[in-house]
Amino acid sequence: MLKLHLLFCCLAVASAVVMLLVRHPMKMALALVATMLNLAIVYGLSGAHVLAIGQVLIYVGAVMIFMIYVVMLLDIKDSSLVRPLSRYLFAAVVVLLLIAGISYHQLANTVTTQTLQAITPVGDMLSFRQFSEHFLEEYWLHFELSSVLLLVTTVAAITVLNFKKGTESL
Amino acid sequence: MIADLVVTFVFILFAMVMLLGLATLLTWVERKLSAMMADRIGANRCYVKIPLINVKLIALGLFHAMADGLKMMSKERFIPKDADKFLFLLAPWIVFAPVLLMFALIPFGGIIYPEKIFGSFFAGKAYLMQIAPLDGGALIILAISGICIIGVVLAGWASNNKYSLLGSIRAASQMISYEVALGLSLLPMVLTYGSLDLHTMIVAQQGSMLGGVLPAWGIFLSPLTAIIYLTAATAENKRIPFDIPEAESEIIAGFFTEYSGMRMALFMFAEFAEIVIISCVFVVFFLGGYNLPYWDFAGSFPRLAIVLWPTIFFIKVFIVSCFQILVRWSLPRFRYDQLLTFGWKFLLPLAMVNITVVTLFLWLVQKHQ
Amino acid sequence: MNQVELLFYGGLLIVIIGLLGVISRKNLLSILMFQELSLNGVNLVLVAGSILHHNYHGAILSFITFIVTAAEMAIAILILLLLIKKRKTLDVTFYSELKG
Repeated sequence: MLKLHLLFCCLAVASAVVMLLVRHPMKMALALVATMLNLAIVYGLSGAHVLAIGQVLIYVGAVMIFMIYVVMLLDIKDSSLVRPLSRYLFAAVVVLLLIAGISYHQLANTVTTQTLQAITPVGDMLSFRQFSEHFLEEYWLHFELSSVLLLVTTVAAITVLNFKKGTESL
Repeated sequence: MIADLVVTFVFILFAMVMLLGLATLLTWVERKLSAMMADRIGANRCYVKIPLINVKLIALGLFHAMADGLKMMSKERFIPKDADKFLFLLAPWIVFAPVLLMFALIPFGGIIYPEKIFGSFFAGKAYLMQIAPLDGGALIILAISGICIIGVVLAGWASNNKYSLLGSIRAASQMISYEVALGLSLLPMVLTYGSLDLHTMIVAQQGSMLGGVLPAWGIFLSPLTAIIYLTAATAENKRIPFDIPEAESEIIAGFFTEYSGMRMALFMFAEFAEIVIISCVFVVFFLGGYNLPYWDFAGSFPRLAIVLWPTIFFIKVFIVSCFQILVRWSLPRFRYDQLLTFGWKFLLPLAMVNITVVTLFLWLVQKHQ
Repeated sequence: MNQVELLFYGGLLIVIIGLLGVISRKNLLSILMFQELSLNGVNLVLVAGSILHHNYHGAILSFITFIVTAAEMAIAILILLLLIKKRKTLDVTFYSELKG
């Protein structure tokens, strides 16, 4: 079982690395979709079925399709594809390594052998019925707020589109 | 462990054969049905000659599917010069694979005990006739069907052809729009049966209602939901009257204009396989799955059930598929703006009103119990 | 190696690759995509935490992240389209009015 976890985690990281290597946004988007699907499989293997489906349904089915749609419509050929790297790369990578080191240190502190031995198997904990009951009992306010957020987003999108039609200068 | 593997493998094999066989049969049904509706004879030339005796087996033109396959395989495999080769070759598979994957969630029979028939190798084991019995079946089907859109967009974009690009822009906006209505149309049934698991839904549809007059099927519980589902699903599958992504009189063949041979056949085959999947989901949600109304045959003949369940299920699936083909040959095509207006301004609000009404009704029923 | 450890370090690796992409790329669309990648890594870490402590909070938080991401993406891509309408390019070096 752990071997499967390892395999799909490695596949996810590998497709993330592919994202760094390719230049065209369409291929990057596909590599990102591959990462997300592999992560969904990892969630599924860990017993978190709700998150696996949410990952495929929301990330792949909505966010990435929107992204791919825009890439298809734009068909960009500009300087950012010829020379894709930024000028301040060196300084940035140094800072990045610092951040990575600190977070690794923190994680290693959190995941000590004592905490690892205390893990109980997930079982049915993240199955649909259990997860939904806990979600809607404890976090009902967050659930309602997220629906408000989505509504606000829709209104904002429509407003911006109409605004563009009405006035020339933006 | 080995017994589990054997049973799952047999189920997968059976499901593949049924799905691909039904899809092939549907190409023939489409020919024959359209011919009948247009007062023609239809496919009747293809035959297999039995050796030595001079008998030609025509069999109502059933061999046309085989001839089609041969023809497709012998065509030139053409790749446009400016196309993105990798993505061009990848796209048909991204369209085809999710359709096959969806079939893993469909239960085509109840719980079987192989020990009774095949002896002690399967001692003490019970299996549900479903490849992947997962607790969120309905949602997983929706999630997987969303992946097809990526393949369609890629096919149009990678072939570097104006008609293809137009086709995939149309296809993407149509599929995104109708996916919302599709998801919302399944929700009332999930509320009614109180589960996302497809087998639990079939069990919930056993028995009868209104004093034994009607079977307690979803289509009688909520007819409007069934109509909304079938409409949205037809639009997802891009068939007439929603076939503007591949409208041959406007943009040749839409997103697969540049494909030829077996690659084009994959797109066509995915379409027919999706008809079968849509019918399967319809049968599970609205037509009581593998059960017959009024008569519990599994109780009367427990040994025959293993054969009778899939037979009944696939007969129902075949009838619903034929209905979809009937619709395809009787309606004209929408215009692009009409299609999007219909999706967003009519079907989506209707689905939402439907959910509200069903929820209120269920709440009232619960309150009076 | 334990399952939870694997998820933690895999998530951390993905977050770092995402950050590296955000820093190094100049294309706006690419930057957005790498941001998504980072968020995915964070979700993985949240789920791992949920398994480690055997409670629901991490999983629910990552579910809410899904919703927020969908909303964020809709707005981000709209802004991106407006930018392209104005400048006809996706190269971030051309958008430097706010530089002092």
